[in-house]
Amino acid sequence: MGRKAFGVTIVCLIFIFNNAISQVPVVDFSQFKEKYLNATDYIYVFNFWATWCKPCIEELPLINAYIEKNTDPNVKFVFVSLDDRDKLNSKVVPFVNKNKFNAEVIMLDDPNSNNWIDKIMVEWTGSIPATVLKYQTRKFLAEKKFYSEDEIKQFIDQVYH
Amino acid sequence: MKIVSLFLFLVFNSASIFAGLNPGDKASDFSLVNVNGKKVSLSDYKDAKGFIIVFTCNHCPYAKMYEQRIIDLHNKYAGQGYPIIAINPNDPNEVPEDGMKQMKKLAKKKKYPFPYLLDEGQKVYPAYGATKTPHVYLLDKDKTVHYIGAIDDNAKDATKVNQKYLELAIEEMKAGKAVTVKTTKAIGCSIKTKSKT
Repeated sequence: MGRKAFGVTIVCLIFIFNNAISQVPVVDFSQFKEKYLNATDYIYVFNFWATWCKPCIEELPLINAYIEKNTDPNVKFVFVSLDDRDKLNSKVVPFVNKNKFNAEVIMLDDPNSNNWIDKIMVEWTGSIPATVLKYQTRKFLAEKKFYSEDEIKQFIDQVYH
Repeated sequence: MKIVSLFLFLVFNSASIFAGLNPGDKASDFSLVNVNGKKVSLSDYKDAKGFIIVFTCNHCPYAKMYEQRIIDLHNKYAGQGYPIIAINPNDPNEVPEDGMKQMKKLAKKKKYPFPYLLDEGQKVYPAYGATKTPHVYLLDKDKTVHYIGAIDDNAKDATKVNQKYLELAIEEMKAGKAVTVKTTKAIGCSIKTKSKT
Protein backbone atom coordinates (compact mmCIF):
# COMPACT_ATOMS: atom_id res chain seq x y z
CA MET A 1 0.00 0.00 0.00
CA GLY A 2 1.42 3.34 -1.04
CA ARG A 3 1.83 6.19 1.35
CA LYS A 4 -1.00 8.11 -0.23
CA ALA A 5 -3.41 5.21 -0.01
CA PHE A 6 -2.48 4.75 3.62
CA GLY A 7 -3.25 8.39 4.29
CA VAL A 8 -6.60 8.12 2.56
CA THR A 9 -7.42 4.99 4.59
CA ILE A 10 -6.64 6.83 7.81
CA VAL A 11 -8.83 9.75 6.79
CA CYS A 12 -11.63 7.32 5.93
CA LEU A 13 -11.26 5.53 9.25
CA ILE A 14 -11.38 8.81 11.14
CA PHE A 15 -14.47 9.75 9.17
CA ILE A 16 -16.19 6.45 9.95
CA PHE A 17 -15.14 6.62 13.58
CA ASN A 18 -16.46 10.14 14.00
CA ASN A 19 -19.78 9.19 12.52
CA ALA A 20 -20.11 6.15 14.73
CA ILE A 21 -20.03 8.48 17.72
CA SER A 22 -23.23 10.42 17.85
CA GLN A 23 -23.01 14.06 17.09
CA VAL A 24 -25.19 16.59 18.83
CA PRO A 25 -25.47 19.75 16.74
CA VAL A 26 -26.06 22.97 18.62
CA VAL A 27 -28.67 25.33 17.21
CA ASP A 28 -30.13 28.64 18.26
CA PHE A 29 -33.86 29.27 17.95
CA SER A 30 -33.75 30.76 14.46
CA GLN A 31 -31.90 27.70 13.19
CA PHE A 32 -34.27 25.39 15.04
CA LYS A 33 -37.22 27.21 13.50
CA GLU A 34 -35.86 27.03 9.99
CA LYS A 35 -34.73 23.44 10.03
CA TYR A 36 -37.36 21.79 12.25
CA LEU A 37 -40.27 23.94 13.37
CA ASN A 38 -41.14 25.24 9.91
CA ALA A 39 -40.50 21.90 8.21
CA THR A 40 -43.62 20.37 6.68
CA ASP A 41 -42.12 17.19 5.23
CA TYR A 42 -42.77 14.96 8.23
CA ILE A 43 -44.85 14.60 11.32
CA TYR A 44 -42.44 15.85 13.96
CA VAL A 45 -42.21 14.84 17.59
CA PHE A 46 -39.98 17.20 19.57
CA ASN A 47 -39.04 16.06 23.05
CA PHE A 48 -37.51 18.81 25.18
CA TRP A 49 -35.21 17.37 27.82
CA ALA A 50 -31.97 17.88 29.75
CA THR A 51 -29.49 15.56 31.44
CA TRP A 52 -30.24 17.24 34.79
CA CYS A 53 -33.98 16.59 34.44
CA LYS A 54 -34.78 13.31 36.18
CA PRO A 55 -38.25 12.70 34.69
CA CYS A 56 -36.80 13.46 31.24
CA ILE A 57 -34.08 10.84 31.67
CA GLU A 58 -36.72 8.38 32.82
CA GLU A 59 -39.04 8.90 29.85
CA LEU A 60 -36.47 9.05 27.03
CA PRO A 61 -35.87 5.26 27.01
CA LEU A 62 -39.67 4.79 26.85
CA ILE A 63 -39.95 7.07 23.85
CA ASN A 64 -37.00 5.29 22.28
CA ALA A 65 -38.66 1.91 22.85
CA TYR A 66 -41.82 3.30 21.27
CA ILE A 67 -39.83 4.41 18.20
CA GLU A 68 -38.26 0.96 17.85
CA LYS A 69 -41.63 -0.78 17.93
CA ASN A 70 -43.55 1.68 15.81
CA THR A 71 -41.43 2.37 12.79
CA ASP A 72 -43.25 4.99 10.79
CA PRO A 73 -41.48 6.71 7.90
CA ASN A 74 -43.84 9.67 8.23
CA VAL A 75 -42.77 10.48 11.77
CA LYS A 76 -39.48 12.08 12.74
CA PHE A 77 -38.41 12.22 16.36
CA VAL A 78 -36.08 14.96 17.56
CA PHE A 79 -34.76 14.99 21.12
CA VAL A 80 -33.95 18.59 21.92
CA SER A 81 -31.51 19.01 24.79
CA LEU A 82 -31.85 22.21 26.80
CA ASP A 83 -28.69 21.56 28.76
CA ASP A 84 -26.13 24.25 29.33
CA ARG A 85 -23.86 24.62 26.29
CA ASP A 86 -20.86 24.00 28.60
CA LYS A 87 -22.19 20.51 29.33
CA LEU A 88 -22.34 19.39 25.68
CA ASN A 89 -19.18 17.31 25.71
CA SER A 90 -19.05 16.42 29.40
CA LYS A 91 -22.69 15.37 29.87
CA VAL A 92 -24.89 15.41 26.77
CA VAL A 93 -22.72 13.57 24.23
CA PRO A 94 -21.74 10.77 26.67
CA PHE A 95 -25.41 10.35 27.64
CA VAL A 96 -26.48 10.16 24.00
CA ASN A 97 -23.69 7.71 23.12
CA LYS A 98 -24.61 5.48 26.02
CA ASN A 99 -28.29 5.34 25.10
CA LYS A 100 -28.06 4.94 21.33
CA PHE A 101 -31.33 6.72 20.62
CA ASN A 102 -33.21 6.08 17.39
CA ALA A 103 -33.87 9.76 17.10
CA GLU A 104 -32.06 12.85 16.02
CA VAL A 105 -30.55 14.59 19.03
CA ILE A 106 -29.80 18.30 18.97
CA MET A 107 -29.09 20.99 21.54
CA LEU A 108 -31.11 24.19 21.54
CA ASP A 109 -28.95 26.89 23.04
CA ASP A 110 -30.75 30.22 23.12
CA PRO A 111 -31.08 32.28 26.28
CA ASN A 112 -34.13 34.23 25.16
CA SER A 113 -36.63 31.58 26.17
CA ASN A 114 -39.36 34.13 26.86
CA ASN A 115 -39.34 34.73 23.15
CA TRP A 116 -39.05 31.22 21.76
CA ILE A 117 -41.19 29.11 24.13
CA ASP A 118 -44.35 30.77 22.77
CA LYS A 119 -43.17 30.30 19.21
CA ILE A 120 -42.79 26.58 19.73
CA MET A 121 -46.20 26.41 21.36
CA VAL A 122 -48.21 29.11 23.15
CA GLU A 123 -49.69 26.60 25.61
CA TRP A 124 -46.26 25.47 26.82
CA THR A 125 -45.31 27.17 30.10
CA GLY A 126 -41.66 26.16 29.82
CA SER A 127 -41.39 23.21 32.18
CA ILE A 128 -39.64 20.06 31.04
CA PRO A 129 -40.15 17.30 30.13
CA ALA A 130 -42.35 18.58 27.34
CA THR A 131 -43.22 16.93 24.05
CA VAL A 132 -44.61 18.74 21.05
CA LEU A 133 -46.25 16.84 18.20
CA LYS A 134 -46.44 18.80 14.98
CA TYR A 135 -47.80 18.14 11.55
CA GLN A 136 -47.85 21.18 9.29
CA THR A 137 -50.03 23.70 11.15
CA ARG A 138 -51.40 21.30 13.76
CA LYS A 139 -49.64 21.07 17.11
CA PHE A 140 -50.21 19.03 20.25
CA LEU A 141 -48.51 19.45 23.61
CA ALA A 142 -47.73 17.07 26.44
CA GLU A 143 -46.17 19.19 29.19
CA LYS A 144 -45.65 16.17 31.38
CA LYS A 145 -43.69 12.98 31.73
CA PHE A 146 -44.82 9.90 29.83
CA TYR A 147 -45.10 6.84 32.02
CA SER A 148 -45.76 4.21 29.36
CA GLU A 149 -45.41 3.48 25.66
CA ASP A 150 -49.21 3.35 25.53
CA GLU A 151 -49.40 6.94 26.67
CA ILE A 152 -46.88 7.94 24.01
CA LYS A 153 -48.88 6.08 21.39
CA GLN A 154 -52.10 7.85 22.39
CA PHE A 155 -50.37 11.17 22.24
CA ILE A 156 -48.90 10.59 18.78
CA ASP A 157 -52.09 9.01 17.39
CA GLN A 158 -53.85 12.36 17.88
CA VAL A 159 -52.26 13.58 14.70
CA TYR A 160 -54.15 10.95 12.72
CA HIS A 161 -57.57 11.90 14.06
CA MET B 1 -61.52 2.71 28.07
CA LYS B 2 -60.29 4.67 25.10
CA ILE B 3 -62.90 7.36 25.68
CA VAL B 4 -62.03 7.59 29.35
CA SER B 5 -58.36 8.01 28.64
CA LEU B 6 -59.09 10.59 25.96
CA PHE B 7 -61.26 12.45 28.43
CA LEU B 8 -58.54 12.32 31.09
CA PHE B 9 -56.07 13.50 28.52
CA LEU B 10 -58.22 16.51 27.61
CA VAL B 11 -58.82 17.36 31.25
CA PHE B 12 -55.13 17.09 31.97
CA ASN B 13 -54.16 19.22 29.02
CA SER B 14 -56.72 21.95 29.53
CA ALA B 15 -55.96 22.09 33.24
CA SER B 16 -52.48 23.33 32.54
CA ILE B 17 -53.88 26.12 30.39
CA PHE B 18 -56.83 27.36 32.40
CA ALA B 19 -56.10 26.49 36.00
CA GLY B 20 -54.48 28.99 38.28
CA LEU B 21 -54.11 32.73 38.33
CA ASN B 22 -53.82 35.31 35.61
CA PRO B 23 -52.69 38.92 35.99
CA GLY B 24 -55.55 40.88 37.53
CA ASP B 25 -56.83 37.90 39.52
CA LYS B 26 -56.82 37.83 43.29
CA ALA B 27 -54.51 35.27 44.85
CA SER B 28 -55.48 33.29 47.90
CA ASP B 29 -53.60 33.33 51.19
CA PHE B 30 -52.00 30.20 52.59
CA SER B 31 -50.50 28.88 55.77
CA LEU B 32 -47.36 26.85 55.19
CA VAL B 33 -44.52 25.67 57.37
CA ASN B 34 -41.26 27.59 57.15
CA VAL B 35 -37.76 26.17 57.56
CA ASN B 36 -37.81 27.46 61.17
CA GLY B 37 -40.84 25.27 61.93
CA LYS B 38 -43.28 28.19 62.15
CA LYS B 39 -46.26 28.70 59.89
CA VAL B 40 -46.26 31.66 57.52
CA SER B 41 -49.23 33.41 55.89
CA LEU B 42 -49.43 36.55 53.78
CA SER B 43 -51.73 38.00 56.44
CA ASP B 44 -48.80 37.90 58.89
CA TYR B 45 -47.23 40.76 56.97
CA LYS B 46 -49.20 43.69 58.31
CA ASP B 47 -47.02 46.39 56.72
CA ALA B 48 -46.34 44.76 53.36
CA LYS B 49 -47.16 46.75 50.25
CA GLY B 50 -46.93 43.62 48.17
CA PHE B 51 -45.40 40.18 47.88
CA ILE B 52 -42.92 38.49 45.60
CA ILE B 53 -43.90 34.83 45.70
CA VAL B 54 -41.28 32.55 44.18
CA PHE B 55 -42.01 28.88 43.63
CA THR B 56 -38.55 27.38 43.83
CA CYS B 57 -36.78 24.36 45.23
CA ASN B 58 -33.45 22.81 46.13
CA HIS B 59 -32.79 20.34 43.35
CA CYS B 60 -33.60 22.15 40.11
CA PRO B 61 -30.58 23.57 38.26
CA TYR B 62 -32.64 26.56 37.15
CA ALA B 63 -33.69 27.22 40.74
CA LYS B 64 -30.04 27.03 41.76
CA MET B 65 -29.05 29.55 39.12
CA TYR B 66 -31.46 32.03 40.70
CA GLU B 67 -30.70 31.47 44.41
CA GLN B 68 -28.41 34.48 44.71
CA ARG B 69 -30.62 36.68 42.52
CA ILE B 70 -33.62 35.96 44.76
CA ILE B 71 -31.61 36.87 47.86
CA ASP B 72 -30.49 40.12 46.18
CA LEU B 73 -34.07 40.95 45.21
CA HIS B 74 -35.26 40.44 48.77
CA ASN B 75 -32.46 42.61 50.13
CA LYS B 76 -33.39 45.33 47.67
CA TYR B 77 -37.18 45.26 48.03
CA ALA B 78 -38.13 43.83 51.44
CA GLY B 79 -37.20 47.11 53.11
CA GLN B 80 -39.47 48.93 50.68
CA GLY B 81 -42.39 46.70 51.66
CA TYR B 82 -42.07 43.94 49.06
CA PRO B 83 -40.65 40.79 50.65
CA ILE B 84 -39.81 37.54 48.90
CA ILE B 85 -41.72 34.48 50.02
CA ALA B 86 -40.20 31.30 48.62
CA ILE B 87 -42.34 28.17 48.35
CA ASN B 88 -41.07 24.71 47.46
CA PRO B 89 -43.94 23.06 45.56
CA ASN B 90 -42.37 19.63 45.05
CA ASP B 91 -43.43 16.40 46.72
CA PRO B 92 -40.41 15.33 48.83
CA ASN B 93 -41.43 11.69 48.29
CA GLU B 94 -40.65 12.21 44.61
CA VAL B 95 -37.54 14.34 45.14
CA PRO B 96 -35.81 13.61 48.45
CA GLU B 97 -33.51 16.58 47.88
CA ASP B 98 -36.56 18.84 48.26
CA GLY B 99 -37.54 17.59 51.72
CA MET B 100 -37.84 19.89 54.73
CA LYS B 101 -34.54 18.71 56.15
CA GLN B 102 -32.71 19.60 52.96
CA MET B 103 -34.62 22.88 52.68
CA LYS B 104 -33.41 23.80 56.15
CA LYS B 105 -29.86 23.01 55.12
CA LEU B 106 -30.02 25.14 52.00
CA ALA B 107 -31.68 28.05 53.81
CA LYS B 108 -28.94 27.94 56.43
CA LYS B 109 -26.13 27.61 53.92
CA LYS B 110 -27.38 30.46 51.72
CA LYS B 111 -28.53 32.48 54.77
CA TYR B 112 -31.95 32.98 53.19
CA PRO B 113 -33.26 36.30 54.52
CA PHE B 114 -36.83 35.29 53.54
CA PRO B 115 -39.15 32.44 54.49
CA TYR B 116 -38.69 29.20 52.57
CA LEU B 117 -41.94 27.26 52.85
CA LEU B 118 -42.92 23.74 51.94
CA ASP B 119 -46.19 23.34 50.04
CA GLU B 120 -47.13 20.34 52.13
CA GLY B 121 -50.00 18.45 50.50
CA GLN B 122 -49.39 20.43 47.29
CA LYS B 123 -52.50 22.60 47.48
CA VAL B 124 -50.96 26.04 46.99
CA TYR B 125 -49.05 25.70 43.73
CA PRO B 126 -52.10 24.43 41.75
CA ALA B 127 -54.23 27.28 43.15
CA TYR B 128 -51.64 29.72 41.81
CA GLY B 129 -51.13 27.76 38.61
CA ALA B 130 -47.40 27.34 39.00
CA THR B 131 -45.98 24.69 36.67
CA LYS B 132 -42.26 24.89 37.25
CA THR B 133 -39.41 26.13 39.37
CA PRO B 134 -38.61 28.97 39.45
CA HIS B 135 -42.03 30.54 38.81
CA VAL B 136 -42.74 34.01 40.18
CA TYR B 137 -46.00 35.73 41.19
CA LEU B 138 -45.96 39.44 42.04
CA LEU B 139 -48.90 40.54 44.21
CA ASP B 140 -49.93 43.89 45.64
CA LYS B 141 -51.04 44.17 49.26
CA ASP B 142 -54.61 43.19 48.34
CA LYS B 143 -53.16 40.02 46.77
CA THR B 144 -54.03 41.11 43.23
CA VAL B 145 -51.63 39.56 40.73
CA HIS B 146 -49.57 42.07 38.72
CA TYR B 147 -46.98 39.83 37.15
CA ILE B 148 -46.38 36.09 36.53
CA GLY B 149 -43.32 34.45 35.09
CA ALA B 150 -39.55 34.63 35.03
CA ILE B 151 -37.15 36.73 37.09
CA ASP B 152 -35.18 37.88 34.06
CA ASP B 153 -34.20 36.77 30.57
CA ASN B 154 -30.97 34.92 31.23
CA ALA B 155 -30.99 32.07 33.74
CA LYS B 156 -27.52 30.84 32.91
CA ASP B 157 -25.63 34.08 33.23
CA ALA B 158 -26.71 36.91 35.54
CA THR B 159 -24.15 39.22 33.95
CA LYS B 160 -25.78 38.83 30.52
CA VAL B 161 -29.31 39.76 31.54
CA ASN B 162 -30.96 42.25 29.19
CA GLN B 163 -34.45 42.36 30.68
CA LYS B 164 -35.08 42.27 34.43
CA TYR B 165 -38.75 41.37 34.00
CA LEU B 166 -39.59 41.03 37.69
CA GLU B 167 -37.80 44.19 38.81
CA LEU B 168 -39.42 46.14 36.02
CA ALA B 169 -42.83 44.90 37.15
CA ILE B 170 -42.10 45.74 40.81
CA GLU B 171 -40.99 49.26 39.88
CA GLU B 172 -44.12 49.85 37.80
CA MET B 173 -46.40 48.44 40.49
CA LYS B 174 -44.65 50.57 43.13
CA ALA B 175 -45.21 53.66 41.00
CA GLY B 176 -48.91 52.82 40.73
CA LYS B 177 -48.61 52.15 37.00
CA ALA B 178 -49.99 49.20 35.10
CA VAL B 179 -47.29 46.60 34.57
CA THR B 180 -46.24 46.61 30.90
CA VAL B 181 -45.05 43.01 30.60
CA LYS B 182 -47.48 41.02 32.75
CA THR B 183 -46.33 37.51 31.89
CA THR B 184 -43.10 35.97 30.67
CA LYS B 185 -41.90 32.45 30.08
CA ALA B 186 -38.72 30.57 30.86
CA ILE B 187 -37.52 27.00 30.92
CA GLY B 188 -37.78 25.41 34.34
CA CYS B 189 -38.08 22.09 36.13
CA SER B 190 -41.56 20.60 36.19
CA ILE B 191 -43.16 20.51 39.62
CA LYS B 192 -42.79 17.00 40.97
CA THR B 193 -45.92 15.16 42.06
CA LYS B 194 -46.73 11.56 42.77
CA SER B 195 -46.85 9.51 39.56
CA LYS B 196 -50.36 9.50 38.13
CA THR B 197 -50.18 6.19 36.29
